[in-house]
Amino acid sequence: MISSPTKSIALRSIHPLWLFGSIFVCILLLMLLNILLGSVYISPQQIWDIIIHGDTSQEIAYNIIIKSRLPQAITALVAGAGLAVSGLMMQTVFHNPLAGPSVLGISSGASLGVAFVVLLSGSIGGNALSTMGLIGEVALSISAVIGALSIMALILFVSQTVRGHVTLLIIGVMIGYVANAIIGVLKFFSVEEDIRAYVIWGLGSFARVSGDQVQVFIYLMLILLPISMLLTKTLNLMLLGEGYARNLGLNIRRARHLVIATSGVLVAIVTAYCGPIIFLGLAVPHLCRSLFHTSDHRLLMPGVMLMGATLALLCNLIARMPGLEGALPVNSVTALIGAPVVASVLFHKRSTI
Amino acid sequence: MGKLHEIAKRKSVYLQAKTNNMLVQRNSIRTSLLVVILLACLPIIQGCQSKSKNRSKNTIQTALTTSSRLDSLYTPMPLSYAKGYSVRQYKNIHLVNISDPQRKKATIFRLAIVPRSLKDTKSLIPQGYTVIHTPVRRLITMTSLQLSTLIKLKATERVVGVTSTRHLFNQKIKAQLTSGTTQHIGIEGQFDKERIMLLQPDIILISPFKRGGYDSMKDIGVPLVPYLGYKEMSPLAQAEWLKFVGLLINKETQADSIFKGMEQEYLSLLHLTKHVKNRPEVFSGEMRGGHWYAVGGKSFLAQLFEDAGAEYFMHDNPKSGGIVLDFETIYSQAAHVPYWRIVNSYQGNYDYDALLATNARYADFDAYKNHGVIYCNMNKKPYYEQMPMEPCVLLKDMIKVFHPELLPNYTPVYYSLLK
Repeated sequence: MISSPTKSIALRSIHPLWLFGSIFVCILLLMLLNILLGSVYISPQQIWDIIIHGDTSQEIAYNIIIKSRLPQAITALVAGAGLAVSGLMMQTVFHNPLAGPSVLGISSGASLGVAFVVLLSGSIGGNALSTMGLIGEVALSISAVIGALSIMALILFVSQTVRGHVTLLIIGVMIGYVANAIIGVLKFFSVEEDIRAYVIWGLGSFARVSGDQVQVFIYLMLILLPISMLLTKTLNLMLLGEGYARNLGLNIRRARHLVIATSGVLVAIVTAYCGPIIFLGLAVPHLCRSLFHTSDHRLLMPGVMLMGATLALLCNLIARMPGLEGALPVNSVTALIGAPVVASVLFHKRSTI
Repeated sequence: MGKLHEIAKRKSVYLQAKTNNMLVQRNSIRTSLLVVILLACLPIIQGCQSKSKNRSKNTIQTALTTSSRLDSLYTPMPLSYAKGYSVRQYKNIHLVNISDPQRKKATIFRLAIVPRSLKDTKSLIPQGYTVIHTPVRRLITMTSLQLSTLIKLKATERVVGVTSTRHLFNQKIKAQLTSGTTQHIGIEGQFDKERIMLLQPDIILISPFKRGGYDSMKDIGVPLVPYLGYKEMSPLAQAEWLKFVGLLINKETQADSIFKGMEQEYLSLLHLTKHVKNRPEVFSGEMRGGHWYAVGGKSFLAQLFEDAGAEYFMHDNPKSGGIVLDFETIYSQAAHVPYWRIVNSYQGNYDYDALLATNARYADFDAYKNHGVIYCNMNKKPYYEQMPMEPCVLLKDMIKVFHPELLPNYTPVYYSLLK
């Protein structure tokens, strides 16, 4: 009992720079492990040759590293950062610790889009999309983005007329329920084969994206993540409450739109490429708040970004530990590994205060 | 008939013995209560108890012998390939035991197939068997795999209910669906119970290891008959389930002769590929949601490849069902494998560009580069509703791909090399 307060003082005295430094080291280490470990053994020497010297003499090893492990690690890194940032923004704008990327029904919207393609129009690819030359994962990504963005548009439209954020939150949750209900109906009328395809999509995976899609994904996130960094000042003002923020010259309605839109687009894109990965967005902001002992978004925003990336990389690593042959779905791993970590950190914090 | 009576008599004796036995047991409980109270009389009562124990032993033995005698009446009817069911026969009655062929310790489903005309058969059927009266005149199928047997036996008019019709090609069943003689009964797990009752089926063919929802159907009182043909591990074994369905619908001889024909042709085809020297390797499956769904080395498909003079790339794998692999595992093992089997459903003409559009990494496989993809489009070919009962066509398709010189004039039906 005596040791815990001292511990917390010790934690509190850690300079944020040190924290950033150690998280950064963690990311590098996890990145390295993600490339080193896999169900097929490739020696570190080989990996060095492939990445540094571009050695293509061993075709299989080269393709595994360059076309499978590297894109997967980068996808996890970027997706984790995106989800965490989105969660942080949602929690701030709604003043609600339980808010997360999925709270406004945006990820349900993505699921609805995928359900329409997979379940309604038959096999993967669907009639409408396959005639445009879009099939498989690409078709799913596009339908997910369309679904998520249309739900988001609906939310933004509602937010123009609804003033209180609790009401908006409830409406968002309701929209999510409606989306899930429609998915249920679609599932009911589908054949097993399609339901299976839909379920597989819902498990979430960082390994889904390949080739050019990874590049597109990274570019999109490289645009969106800096945009969310620009919102730190707005978010800090929002934290003060609407009255103060308005007095300080913030256009509340516009700010709310901007934050919801950025956060929604982030979730939409991550969900489109990786499936609905639910846990990270909710948990990482809490983890960071208690690690950094601050609510200042100038610290939290980069902190959350790095922490989200770290956790996503860790989960990706566990999901495809050697011997498991990639059999674990990422969605389960994020919750299984992440939940105890976050709970213990929060528990520790609460018990010391 | 004399023997029949004798059995009936024995059965009634057995029942009587059983009631006696219960009475004796009840008595013995009472006596043991007395033991506690009247300790003094211990030796006498003990003697009494041991006597009753002896007696109950004897009755159990008689019961067992009756049951085993009943069992021994039935002579096994050998099946050549199928491992998922076994048949025993006595006169016109058939006892069928059905279990998952891919598992050693699987649940056994017991069916007694009894002609409707036969009366007073109760004494002839061992305990635990569900009685099905034949010929089955109205039945419900759950999958197109089950439908394939009825199509082969030209008995589609007996199908009164189906689940999904998305990949249905059979014109007869389609016509039945339009005229209303066959109806949809909902999806697996969510059946329309009222519709099922209205259809008054004699039996319902089910796939008991799938999504389920059968518990609610048990109340209807229609016997549920498990059909596990799709779990068999070779084409001929799957086709042999035709005999089982033949038994159900009283088309035994027809089913036997059709199967015999298939067997002969299949064996002669096997003879063709037996001595081929070059056995190319082949892998199977596609990437879905970041995982590769393939099948084990002891599966139906692996056996088919072997019969066609090829070799499944994971032939050392001990599994008989599906397996999930990650990309690097499959890629490291199949990168240089010349053939790749894919079955899916696609609107329009599937080609190498369409395949690549689903995943850019496919281009790194030799089978992609050298155009070695063996493809079947379920959207255009009656794959599931015919293939199970056409093992020879399936085999010929494969031989045509791996060893075209063996079947120079053959035109493939389901699978062919993707162009």
